[in-house]
Amino acid sequence: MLETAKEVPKETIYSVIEEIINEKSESSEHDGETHEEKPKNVRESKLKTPAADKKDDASSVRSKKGDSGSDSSGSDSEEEDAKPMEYLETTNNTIFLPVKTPEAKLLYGTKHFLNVYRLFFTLYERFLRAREIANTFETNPKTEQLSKEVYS
Amino acid sequence: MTYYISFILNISKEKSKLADERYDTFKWILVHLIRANIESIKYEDLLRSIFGKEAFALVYVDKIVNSVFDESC
Repeated sequence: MLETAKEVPKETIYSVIEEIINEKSESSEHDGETHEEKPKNVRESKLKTPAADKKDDASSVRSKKGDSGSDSSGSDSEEEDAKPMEYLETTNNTIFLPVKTPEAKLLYGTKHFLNVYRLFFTLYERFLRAREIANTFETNPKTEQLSKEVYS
Repeated sequence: MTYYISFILNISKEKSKLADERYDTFKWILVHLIRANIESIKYEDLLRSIFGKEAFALVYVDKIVNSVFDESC
């Protein structure tokens, strides 16, 4: 009787796969040939011509510059056309955050930290000054006379 | 003597109350200015009426707030 894939339950399929894996592991333990084959393949991959090594070095340098693995095959002109500060011209309309316009500066690192610190410090200083001014009253002889007349 | 002491205490209490009221009114005026309920000319006039001749230091606070929002956001 031939059974289709739908009729066979998953548990039996998993059990069959486990048996196959166990058989393979047992055969590899008994036979030493399989262990010797793997290092041979590794050696073959390591043994390369110097020209091939140079090609690999060039591709690795490209990948380090910022290109992904798929883009490494692209020409150099595309790399030059890409703008380095392109993220500054983008607009972001995410909620829960203030709207980012292309004219606005993006805070990255410590470049604009001092500017922002200075602005917040001036605000703090101005509010302190407002508190001081609110506590100091002008010396006006007319108002002093009025207060004396009221309390006398 | 007691009358004199009570007179001084009353003045100090009134001064502290007045100072708190002035500071609170300044904050409310600034909030209304940022919400664009008041014009900048009227804001200056109100500050001058509250703080007198020393109000010039607080005239440009709204511009500092705007610059903070423009540069940081």
